[in-house]
Amino acid sequence: MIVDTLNPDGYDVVIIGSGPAGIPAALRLAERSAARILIVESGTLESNDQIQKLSEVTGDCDLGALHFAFHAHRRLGGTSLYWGGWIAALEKRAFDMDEWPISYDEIDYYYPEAAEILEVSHDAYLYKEAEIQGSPGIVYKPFYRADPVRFQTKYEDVLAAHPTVDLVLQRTCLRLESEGDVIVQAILADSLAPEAETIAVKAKHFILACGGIGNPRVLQHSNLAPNSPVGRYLMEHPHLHGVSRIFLDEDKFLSYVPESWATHALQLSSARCIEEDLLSFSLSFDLDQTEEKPLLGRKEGVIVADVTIRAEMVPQFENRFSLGEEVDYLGQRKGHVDFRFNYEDLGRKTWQVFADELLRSGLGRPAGLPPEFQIGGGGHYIGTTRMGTSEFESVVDRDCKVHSTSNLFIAGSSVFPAGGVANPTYSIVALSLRLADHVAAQLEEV
Amino acid sequence: MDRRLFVSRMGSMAALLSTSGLLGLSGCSENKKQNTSGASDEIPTPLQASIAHLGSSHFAEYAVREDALSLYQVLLQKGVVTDTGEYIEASVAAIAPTDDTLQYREFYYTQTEMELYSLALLLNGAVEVG
Repeated sequence: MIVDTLNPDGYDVVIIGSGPAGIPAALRLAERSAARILIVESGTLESNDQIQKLSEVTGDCDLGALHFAFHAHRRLGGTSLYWGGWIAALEKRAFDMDEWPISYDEIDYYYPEAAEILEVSHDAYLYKEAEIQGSPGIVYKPFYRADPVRFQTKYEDVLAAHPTVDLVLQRTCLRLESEGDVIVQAILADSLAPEAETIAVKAKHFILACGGIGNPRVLQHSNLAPNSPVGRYLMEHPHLHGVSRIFLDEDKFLSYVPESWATHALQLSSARCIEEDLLSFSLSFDLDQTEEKPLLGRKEGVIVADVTIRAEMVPQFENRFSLGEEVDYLGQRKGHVDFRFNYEDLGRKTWQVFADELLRSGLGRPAGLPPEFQIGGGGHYIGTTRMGTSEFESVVDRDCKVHSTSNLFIAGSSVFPAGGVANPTYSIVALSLRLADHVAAQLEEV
Repeated sequence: MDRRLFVSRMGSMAALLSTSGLLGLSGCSENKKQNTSGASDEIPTPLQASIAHLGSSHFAEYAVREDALSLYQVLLQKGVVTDTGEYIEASVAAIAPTDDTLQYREFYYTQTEMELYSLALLLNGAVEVG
């Protein structure tokens, strides 16, 4: 139900945030347990400029401070409002390199259900990638495009009628309060009435699901996880739009293309990335134009395409979200972002390896990279409450529980220890379902 | 000197010399000893037709610095062409995994490709450098 007044007896689970991380977690929990669940949303049913100011940050950063504020959207549905519908499973590279403390299978298990939630063809998890015959170094790994699901449109009525999930709007979580390692309550303020008294809501478990900037912000305002790199290792996805061109053997390439609609993309295989000590790297392109050109000694029909590179950047300690000196209208310190891609050298090195592979495989011919190029972002905030085994090198454990607490969990791309190339929404939903199953099991044990 | 600048300047010179008739770059002038004897120091006549489809002025800047006979001998040794003027189409792809690569006019090519396309151009058409 959409409520104005909270349950005075508290809840079993309070989830802060109503986007692609929060809503799937809430509804999954409701299916798998008898839990009383509260979703807290800072925004309302409409976009509100005043409330959106709470996402403003200052910054010394590539992409500009506005970029990091824009994609942290405060409204029912969160960032699903701006989601472009891009779907891709994470690459195995980082899992094979033990950069994640969980196996690939543990997230892969949830991709089918995540695909259902995001209303994308099941090909998205059945046909993740295809090896290119004759080149173990390149795989065909497309991006699927769904009609973007707006979580408000999809779930507003569901939540309004739900018997065990309450949704409260226009409430901003100022901080969490703890006793020892137990989070006991969340302190909520009226997002549009800063003078109003704050409300304390108690729960057995808390889940932060307010994004790659919002999650560390709440932890920092709450002085939680002092030994952990909260806010550190902020990542985005380097995007190099139309940066180069390729020719592709038309017949050979089309044999790999699935029937369902996709944005075509080739990647360096995970094995090749590991061999060359590179990170994931994807070229996407459209099949716009064909010509006849020589390719490895044959005159072939080739697809001529401009390519966009989407890539994985190195997680860097210096890239961070922290609390700045300015104060917002709720009296809280605003965020500050320090961020640099530092991607150019890695990008050039990776392109060279990819170019060699593409040509030698006979699949196509690449052009070079220009002497200078602009790096854009995807609106993906990753890694700021990263998953890991050590409290000193990570913020959450393999179950997405904050190390220094017994009952605080985090959902969203802030837990990714590696950015991959894949747009994060699909994996956010998958991991949220996984988290919900874990919390449901914990509730059952009590 | 940057190689692309070098070939660019060589191309300009070739165009000048070609126009003046001094270099005489044409399909026949490089192959002074064309006959069908099959000797590796002679380019077999059938080869011109075998690889004609691969010739393109796009490769002129590279081709102008090469000698057709030398290219033929290299390709013969690599098994890309035969001494009777056949072209082994699958050979370039077979060599590719271990071939050198280079960047020419924006795009990447294998070394053998450049040798082959240059020979095709030298045997089949004037090297016109734009």
